[in-house]
Amino acid sequence: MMSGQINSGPPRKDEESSEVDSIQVSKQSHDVDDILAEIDATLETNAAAFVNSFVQKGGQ
Amino acid sequence: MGIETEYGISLQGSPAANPMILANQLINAYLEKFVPINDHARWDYDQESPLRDARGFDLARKLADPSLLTNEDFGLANAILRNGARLYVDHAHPEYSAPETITPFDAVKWERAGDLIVSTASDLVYERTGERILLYKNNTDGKGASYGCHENYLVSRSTPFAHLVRYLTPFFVSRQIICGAGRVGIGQNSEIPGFQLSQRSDFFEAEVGLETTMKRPIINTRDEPHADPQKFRRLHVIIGDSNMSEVSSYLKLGTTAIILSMIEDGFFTEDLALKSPVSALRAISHDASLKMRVLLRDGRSVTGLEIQRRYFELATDYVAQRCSDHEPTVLLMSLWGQTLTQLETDPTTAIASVEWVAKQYLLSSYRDRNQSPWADPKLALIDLQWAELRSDNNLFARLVERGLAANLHGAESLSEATQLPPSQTRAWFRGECVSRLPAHLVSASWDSVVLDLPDSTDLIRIKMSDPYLGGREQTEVALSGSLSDLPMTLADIFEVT
Repeated sequence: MMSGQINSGPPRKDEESSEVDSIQVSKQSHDVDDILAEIDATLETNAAAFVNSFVQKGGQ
Repeated sequence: MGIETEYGISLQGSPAANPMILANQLINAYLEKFVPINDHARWDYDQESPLRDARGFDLARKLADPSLLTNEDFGLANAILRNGARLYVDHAHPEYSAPETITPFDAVKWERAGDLIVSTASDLVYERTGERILLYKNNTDGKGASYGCHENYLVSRSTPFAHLVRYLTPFFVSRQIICGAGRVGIGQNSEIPGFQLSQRSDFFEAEVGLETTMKRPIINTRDEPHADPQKFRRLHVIIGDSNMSEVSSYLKLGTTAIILSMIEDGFFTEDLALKSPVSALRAISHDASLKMRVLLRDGRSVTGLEIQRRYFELATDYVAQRCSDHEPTVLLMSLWGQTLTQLETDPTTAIASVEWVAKQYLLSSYRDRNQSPWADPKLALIDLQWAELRSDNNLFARLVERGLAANLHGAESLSEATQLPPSQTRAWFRGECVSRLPAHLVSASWDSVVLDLPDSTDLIRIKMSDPYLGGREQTEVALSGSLSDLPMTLADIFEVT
């Protein structure tokens, strides 16, 4: 797991330091396997229909 | 600085539902519960001029495309929140414009507060109607439509606009390498299966211009400072992706702010001008191996990563000379340098700080396991679900939970930022007027607040032409005093008429 996530409170300078300092992770392949299993279990079964129906108006 | 986010929107089970009505319903649900104003204070358009061009002329109103006219009130939801932000319906999307902040770290906090606000609004609609409004923090539907994430930076008026164009263009063309959100599909209509670094790059067609909805330019010239135009320019940056990753958002804002300081201080002498910026932008986005070379005007051929590395080296010299003791800047530089080194060595090692790398990692893992070609609609769905804001469904949040990606701000900190304005800018005064003087607030905008006070027959108009003025320290005495003293105490800080 990554070391340290901010927990609460306003961003004091020292907190900002410790957070920005510690952006690193240890990749573990079983973690992504869990997510893939979850994707299979929960994502729309008819992906094509869902993706095709996602139509937005243009914005800025 | 601050970020405006336009969210993709649809109604679960009814993809054809009118997005403008949905956005209106969403925002009104939030306002009814969280903004204590009967008949909400009006947005004050008097100071807005979206057709003012930074190059020094006005686009005639009758010649402008209707989508450029952002200061017409069509009776759609448009309000100021307690945290000093603006929440409104813009071009069939709900838009949250974060309050002004001083640091990139804070800008990310109040930008992310917007995600929480619109998600909460969706929950409120669901409780009331049983219908679920889905919100997407992405920038395209893969069918030709794009909607933006705009950054705003205060720049001194004395900085020549030509310098901004010259030194920012190569930076913006290469910046997607460190802060792109990643996208499944290549081309405005995703006509070519594949993966690219940026959500937005395929939608840019010009180098410099005023438009934001068509012929989008790499450098947007909208000159609407929302502040004293003699002193300030608001640089309106439309080229960035909406980021789920707080680290990517922080790198995007922080590196751009440093480059802007260098331009303001006249630090640049080296020109990295590209031969064809628009095609270079796309070419770099389309190559996740980061090996694509693009031509500079002087004939050299460079990768996007090499352009970023050169900007980083120049910024390192600048920070060493001007602000080597400013800890937040030094930390930002260290993260920027570390990220570039990771991308140069092996892009997959940048998974914690670069959003497109994290998205590509998830997509590649899925493809490896299921032998999926890029045209598999499941991959496009993963891209959508990456940005869908419900916390139980959001795929980026899954990576953070499992330690594969990182965030900067905790849930409590973001929750607080939905209700409290940043304390060091005029956003404090604007937001506290919403919280503390709801019965007297008539209207407000970025640079004005209009109050109706009991002892006064006329409305009191407060002009906030300096974004740095109006923070907690300056306004606390006035805000906690009596209402009858308010015009006098405020006149010590602002222009009051």
